Amino acid sequence: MESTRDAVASYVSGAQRFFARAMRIFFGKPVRFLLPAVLIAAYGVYYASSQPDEYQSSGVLSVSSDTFLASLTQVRDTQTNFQSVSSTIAKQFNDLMQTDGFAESVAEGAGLADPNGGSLVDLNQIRTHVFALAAGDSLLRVTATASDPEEARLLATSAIASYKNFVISSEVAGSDVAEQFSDDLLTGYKADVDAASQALQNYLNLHPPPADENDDRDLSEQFEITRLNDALTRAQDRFDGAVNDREQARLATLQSSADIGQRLRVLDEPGIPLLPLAGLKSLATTVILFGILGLIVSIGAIALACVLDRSIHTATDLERIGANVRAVVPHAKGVKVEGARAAQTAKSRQVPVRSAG
Amino acid sequence: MARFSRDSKTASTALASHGAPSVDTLSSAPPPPSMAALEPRPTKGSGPPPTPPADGSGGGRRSGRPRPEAIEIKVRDVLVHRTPPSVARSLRYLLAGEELPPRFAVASSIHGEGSTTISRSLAALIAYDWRESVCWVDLNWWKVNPLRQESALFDTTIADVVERRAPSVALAMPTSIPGLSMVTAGEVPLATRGRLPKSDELADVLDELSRSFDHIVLDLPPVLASSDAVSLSAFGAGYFLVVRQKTTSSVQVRAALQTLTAVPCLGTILNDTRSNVPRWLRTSNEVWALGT
Repeated sequence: MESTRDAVASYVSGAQRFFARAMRIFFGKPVRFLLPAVLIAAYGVYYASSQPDEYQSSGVLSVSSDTFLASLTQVRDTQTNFQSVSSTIAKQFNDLMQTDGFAESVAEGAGLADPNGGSLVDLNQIRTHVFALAAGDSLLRVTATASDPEEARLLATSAIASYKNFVISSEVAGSDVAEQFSDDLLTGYKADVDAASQALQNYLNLHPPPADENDDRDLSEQFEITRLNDALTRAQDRFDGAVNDREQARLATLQSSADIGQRLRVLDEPGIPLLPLAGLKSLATTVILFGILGLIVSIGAIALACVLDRSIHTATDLERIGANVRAVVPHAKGVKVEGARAAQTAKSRQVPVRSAG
Repeated sequence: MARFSRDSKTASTALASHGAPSVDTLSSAPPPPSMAALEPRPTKGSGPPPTPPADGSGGGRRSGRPRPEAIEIKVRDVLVHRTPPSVARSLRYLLAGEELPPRFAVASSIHGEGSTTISRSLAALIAYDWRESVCWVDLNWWKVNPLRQESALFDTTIADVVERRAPSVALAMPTSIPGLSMVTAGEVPLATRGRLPKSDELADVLDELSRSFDHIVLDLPPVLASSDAVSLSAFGAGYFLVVRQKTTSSVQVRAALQTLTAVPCLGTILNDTRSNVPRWLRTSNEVWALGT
């Protein structure tokens, strides 16, 4: 029997022993080890049920890297990119949401801005509740989540508008500078034209033409009038040139704006969500996640108990410390005999107890 | 001081004086009611049967077979010990193995491991299965209260004899099991307990008992609770170490084995084993690993 026992004991690997010990420890007091899992799962139920209902609103934009107008006007260079346009724009949008300026503009557009400056809601909350996802190669879905349906719609609408404004302001920035420069020049040129015109008019008033229509002006007057007229013509040419430049810059701005409008076209306006986002599925997911966490804690507790528990569980444990196991006595009811009861019985029967000495 | 006789007939005469049936009449007399439905007596030295299940059922779930009854030890018609069938089956494997010395001890590492229960069960099985005279000797003066109160059932205790307060003639108290007698330790003051293990009087008492009985089973105090166990173990030719499952640590077992070096260890007995692991989870390998 000993040889058979040794053979079987050597066949049992350390992992099997550990598993068997873990099973013994767990099934010895299953409630104690399942308690963490149950408590954490119960907390998960409480956590999921205590969360307020959230509403989600989203708008869909059609995004493209080229437009018909751009192909005609060559306002943009086409570049080869491995990412889809929607992915690139979604990433850019989410990056922008991390900036305070963009997040504040979104809050301001949604009416969540404080009139005294700042925002009525936490910017971090807006950052986590407004995001963009690529819904295909050319579709971008901007989603906003809020506790109020109207607030969710306003946030999504504001996010789309803020992004479009950002793109427009960045792409037409050069045209704006040109327009501003032309406007500054036009002011000066207009003054020059007015001054030249006024000087010519004053000279003509001081030197009226001869009474006889057949008489000519003096040669000196003719020279002066010619000079003043030339000055007026030069001022007018400069002014006309500046006006032309300004119109060109304005045209470029309009072209860029129209181009952006074609590239970022809103297909679906954000609407007011009718049903809350959280439902039975969300509740089940939360509870399952907390349950898994609790199971991990329970398994860890069992493993820890296995490592820390040095008590003898099996004959194998005894043999591992060099003891020769001769018998394994099972637990049986009725082994204990109440000694006190036995003594009482003996006293009641008046058993003669031999006294000392 | 009266001497015990090694002759079993003399011993049976002494037992008969206490109202117990004579050893000579055991073969012809019907067994007492408490043993009427016991399992058939195994042959001494026969091969071990398969290990019993650890659920304490004792294999009694098979329908159609009479359920074996527990072995009960009564002193003066007062129940002092009960050996359930499943425990008896397990200990019979031990008895069916190697030859036991005439005098051996049963010890434990700490309190509450069941060494008294195991030693009494071994003594009862030897008396019943082998039909040899056995004396269970209590050398544990460190027992808890309820067990000490059993002393009221005995006329004389070892403490009385060693302290010369009583003769040793009535020291062995016969029990309801023919051939089995019991000797209780009695009350010894704490101040004098350390003197007893080394006393010549105790050695004389045990020698006298050895001459009167075929086997002497010594119940020792816990090894790690009292140093008496180290000295008392020398009165036997070997000792069994009882280890209760989930109670004793491997460190304590190792310490006990390293402490009791005066006599050889006859083996360890894993006591009170149980497994709550569902049966469908127990594969053949795990069954052994679980200690069943």
